[in-house]
Amino acid sequence: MTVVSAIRTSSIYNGGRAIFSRRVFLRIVAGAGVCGLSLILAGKTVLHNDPAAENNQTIKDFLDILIPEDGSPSASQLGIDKIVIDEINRNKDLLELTGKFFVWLEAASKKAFGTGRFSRLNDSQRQQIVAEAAESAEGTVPRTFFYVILRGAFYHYYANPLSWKYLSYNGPPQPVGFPDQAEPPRLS
Amino acid sequence: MAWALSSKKIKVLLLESGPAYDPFKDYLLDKPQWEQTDFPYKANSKGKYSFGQMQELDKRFADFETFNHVLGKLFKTGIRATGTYGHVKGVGGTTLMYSGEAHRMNPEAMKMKSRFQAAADWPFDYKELEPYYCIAEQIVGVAGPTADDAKRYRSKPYPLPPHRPSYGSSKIQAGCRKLGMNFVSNSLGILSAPYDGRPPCNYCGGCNRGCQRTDKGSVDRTFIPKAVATGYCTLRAGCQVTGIEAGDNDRIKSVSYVDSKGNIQQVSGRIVVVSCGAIETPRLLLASSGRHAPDGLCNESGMVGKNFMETLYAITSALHDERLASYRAASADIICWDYNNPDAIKDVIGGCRFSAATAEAGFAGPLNYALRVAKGWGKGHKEQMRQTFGNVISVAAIGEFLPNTKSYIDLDPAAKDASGIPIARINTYNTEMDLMRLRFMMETSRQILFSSGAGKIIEQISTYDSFTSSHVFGTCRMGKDSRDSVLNAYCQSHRWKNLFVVDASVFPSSGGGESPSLTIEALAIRTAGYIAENKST
Repeated sequence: MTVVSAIRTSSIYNGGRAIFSRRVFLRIVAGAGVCGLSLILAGKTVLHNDPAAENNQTIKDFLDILIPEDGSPSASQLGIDKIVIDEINRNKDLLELTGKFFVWLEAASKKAFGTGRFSRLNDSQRQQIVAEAAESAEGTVPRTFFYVILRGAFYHYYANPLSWKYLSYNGPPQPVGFPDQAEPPRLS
Repeated sequence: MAWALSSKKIKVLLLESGPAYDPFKDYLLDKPQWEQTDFPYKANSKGKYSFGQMQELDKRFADFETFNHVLGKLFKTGIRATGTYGHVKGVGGTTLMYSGEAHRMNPEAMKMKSRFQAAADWPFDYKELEPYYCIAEQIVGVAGPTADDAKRYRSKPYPLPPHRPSYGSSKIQAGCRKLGMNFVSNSLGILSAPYDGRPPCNYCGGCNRGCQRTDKGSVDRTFIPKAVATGYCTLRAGCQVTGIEAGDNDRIKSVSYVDSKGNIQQVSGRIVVVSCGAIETPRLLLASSGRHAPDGLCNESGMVGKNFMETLYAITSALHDERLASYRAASADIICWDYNNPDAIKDVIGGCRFSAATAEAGFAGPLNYALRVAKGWGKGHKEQMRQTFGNVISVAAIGEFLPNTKSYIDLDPAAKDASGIPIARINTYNTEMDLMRLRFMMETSRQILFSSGAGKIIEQISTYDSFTSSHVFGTCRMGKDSRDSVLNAYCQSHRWKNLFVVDASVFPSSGGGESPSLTIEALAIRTAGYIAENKST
């Protein structure tokens, strides 16, 4: 018997289905094309001097708040930002959601700290903004974006063997397996 | 079936709708991204199906709704979710992703009608099937306990000694002893020693993701290569059967299929055996209606698709205080049969079993812990990862499912597959008796976990609020009376004498949580013997 598919690790970006229904996700992204800040992750729209770099930096900084360096690598140190940005660019729904989130992010940063640029905030300020997104009402853009990106970041970060050694995990499961399975673990 | 027939020098053409898998290339357990995928489905390795009206949830059982302590409550509509029919279309079928459990039916659970006026009696008793269980166990290489099983007589010992319980499972075993329950080594089609040219298990916990090491006795590693090696069996993968054509004199004339290149083919044989599982088999028979069988093939009794029995299932997971590295294990390595008899649960008809299930629950590596165990984000999440990784233990419970009139398979009136054949529609309903059994299963699972030293329940998944089944049964059941069954005691159509069905659709009752694969294999070997002895069939 295999476990219920409701809690799958795969399909993280499939409309954020593990947390949000597809219907909720689409309602959130609907109309994203008319939002004030167009998505420039692929460099399509000029907002700042180097819009693609600016927005990529925002994603990178956002991810490093979600998965910071603390003796073990941060998200960007394992290249998770590049993977996530690539996936955003390949997923129309997610691209639109990100566009809407950037609008929110700019407004929230400006309101709290006087600048609309997340990347110019210090670490503490960024954490405050990210916490605000996480604690937003269910079904809103910031909360949806936060959880979809959080799970996407974990999905890639913890599939990287460089993250495993800090957990004393000697994977992948094959070819060695765990022949000591009957004994108490020897933790490094 | 293919092995049993071909080893008797009967020519067999084996048409498999799905692809073949190469464990060394297709399975991912040696790759960094191994945990990002469950079973690596290929194109056309899943069947299509739909659902009928799902039932409104009975709020008296709301304690048993599916939740995860990170994700919260997963199903919020008040209507039972459609979920998943867990299966693989491919050479080896769903055994490619099964946990390797190799169970014999509880003889007590084969007489449900005469004892409890529930389900139907098997048209023979356990003693009749026992020799065929022994043959199947030899082919698969089952590792099982050396002690006698009081419920299931065996004429031969298991081919291999049992697996040692994992360290995590030993905690569950000890906890159960405190409750007066007895967890024993599970009988597994997973090698505990080298056998038949295959290596023993190295306890990677990846059984459900496809066994890369080939120690798991999936059909593609055991029966099928042996069948092909006889020289009497031809295997054609990627061939989707689209219809079975009936002829005169109550005999099947031919089988139509679309081959792997998309060409329509037709083939004739002396005998036709359908083995597509309890959802696809009735679909194929119902879709094969025609002049000789206007209501569908084998459906003279109107029973094809009826009596659908699904998996009554719950899996409960909790955090243990001790560092266990509980991902190190064979799936379901220990099992408790204490409540397996159909009268074992107070005020409930139908039994159940409990098993260690940490690997089955998917708590197999860092990614699942990151998504399902550690809460929050930032440094707090990382700290939780370090504190909890490897500490989850899980208990699964599977129970008897009794047939009811609202649970059946029929043809979807609107949806068709690529060949224009209506897809199967799953109509599913849990009766109050099923839910009472589920309540016992889940309450007991919690007690086991707490008694094992685990603290907080972090996840509970149950079929109360979502249809989720791998073990499905009953939709072409065997019986002595052609008026209320589809097949006779040899899995032969009551009317179409050269048509047989061998899969779990033939089960008159589901059993009290036994995994069905070994019984299907035993039935196939027995039926093959009948075919060989009755060559004029």
